[in-house]
Amino acid sequence: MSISESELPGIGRRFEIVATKGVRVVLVIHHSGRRDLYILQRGEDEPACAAKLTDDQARRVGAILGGAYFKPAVVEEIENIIGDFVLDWVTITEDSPMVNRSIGDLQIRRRTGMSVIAIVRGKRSINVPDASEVLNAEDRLLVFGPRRNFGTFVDDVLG
Amino acid sequence: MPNALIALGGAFIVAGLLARMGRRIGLPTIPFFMAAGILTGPHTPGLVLVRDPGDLELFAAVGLIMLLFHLGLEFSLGDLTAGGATLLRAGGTYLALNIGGGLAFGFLLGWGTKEAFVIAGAVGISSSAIVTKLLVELGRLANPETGMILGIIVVEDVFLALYLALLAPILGEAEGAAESAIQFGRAFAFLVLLLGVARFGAKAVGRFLSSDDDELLTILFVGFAVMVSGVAEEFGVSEAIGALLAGLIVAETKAAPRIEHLVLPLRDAFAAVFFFAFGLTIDPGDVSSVALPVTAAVLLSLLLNIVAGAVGARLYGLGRRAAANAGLTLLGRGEFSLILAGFGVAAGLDERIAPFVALYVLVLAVIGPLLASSSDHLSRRLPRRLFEKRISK
Repeated sequence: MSISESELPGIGRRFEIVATKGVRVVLVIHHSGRRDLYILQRGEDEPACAAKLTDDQARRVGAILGGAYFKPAVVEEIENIIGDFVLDWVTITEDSPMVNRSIGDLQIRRRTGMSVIAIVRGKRSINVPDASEVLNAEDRLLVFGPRRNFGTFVDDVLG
Repeated sequence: MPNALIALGGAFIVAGLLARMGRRIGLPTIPFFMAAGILTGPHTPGLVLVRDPGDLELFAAVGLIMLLFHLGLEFSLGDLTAGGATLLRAGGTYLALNIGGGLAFGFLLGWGTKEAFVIAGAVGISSSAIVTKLLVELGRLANPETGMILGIIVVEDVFLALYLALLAPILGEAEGAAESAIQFGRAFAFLVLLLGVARFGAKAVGRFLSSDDDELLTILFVGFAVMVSGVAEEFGVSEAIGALLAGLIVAETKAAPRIEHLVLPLRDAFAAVFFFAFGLTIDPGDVSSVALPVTAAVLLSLLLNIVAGAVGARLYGLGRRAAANAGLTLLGRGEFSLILAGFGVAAGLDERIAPFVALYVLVLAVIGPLLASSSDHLSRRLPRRLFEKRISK
């Protein structure tokens, strides 16, 4: 798969991906942070549909597309699935019930079977956090555990 | 006569509200800032916010400086060279047609040689602000011709800088060859000095401006831009060129990405005053005397843009739809036309220049976006055989 990338002077950067059946997906990232998403049918120059996304919306869509929230069971070739285990990162949302509670308090490992290996908080990284570590909104957790438990964990994060 | 603060506040409010009305129906903002100046100026009945355009002179001058400082800051020779020879040919064709056509038209009007050069620039150079915004609004960022359109805009920006430099001695009021040679020499020496600073002294300027604090950085770069513009004016180079070069110098410093961000609100606010103040000088009573030349100029620009769009599309191996889109989108005229008209007014040229450019910009502000959004009508009329899809390289 190839992604063609080009500069739009004064606007931002343009990325183009050819999806299945020759449908082209064009993504424009504005300097302002806004994202435009265009879908062009095969052989067409005018987009069939377009969507404007704010920076925040785009990040969420990106996380969903990347499989951070939900991973289809058929995707076996994904690198972070190792045998029966999964290694993935999850971002704590603002309305997550995990906000302002410690790992020990939440009994994450006992209830979900997943282990929090690391936390990325802004510019700081915490390697193998203690059970007393309190989670904040926007924390990115690197988690590892049995694949079948990952769904329960994500449900917990989302509340 | 309201007090100065009420006048300035009123200028912002009327300009903002009027432009917002225009935006609702997809029209560009810059011409409406000027229209607000016309409506609340001394020459129209009703509310008179500012009787003497001179009252806003300093604010308008800062607006002009911020506009060109930002242009210099965003200047990218990288974007120009990345486009390669094809871009230079497409952009060159656009300028040759539009500037050449504008110059011929200016001479035909018979208002004078200096006037012809101002008119050529005003009708020949697209507004990067209006064109870029139009592309975003029409949702055409994914279209094949968009890269070409934005590339041509970059070529036009570079050309504008050269044109401003060329225009200063042409518009100068030197008497006799010796005096004009001295003036030209002084201006040239100053330009070389500034370009030298841009090339070799960026580090020193960077250290002078440098601050981790946005507040201090803002104050220092505004001071730098205004100071360079003022000194440029003293040397007989226009303050516009000074501001542009100040932008080019700052673009080479480490703080450039932050300044690009910080300058935007300043540019937007003061540039609006610049356009408003230009509107104040316009007497709608003069419009009838320029209606015919404006109609002719609009038709000429329309024709030349369609031809330039077609040539560009062929150079890039694009279809006729792309040709129509490119030509009609590049038709946007705005800040540069008004800056050039302002130069003409400052140099004491023919009084018809200001109303001519004002009406020209206003007419294109309304019909430009309409034509661009319904470009399919034009594309169906372009001969298909000219745009047979060639195998792209």
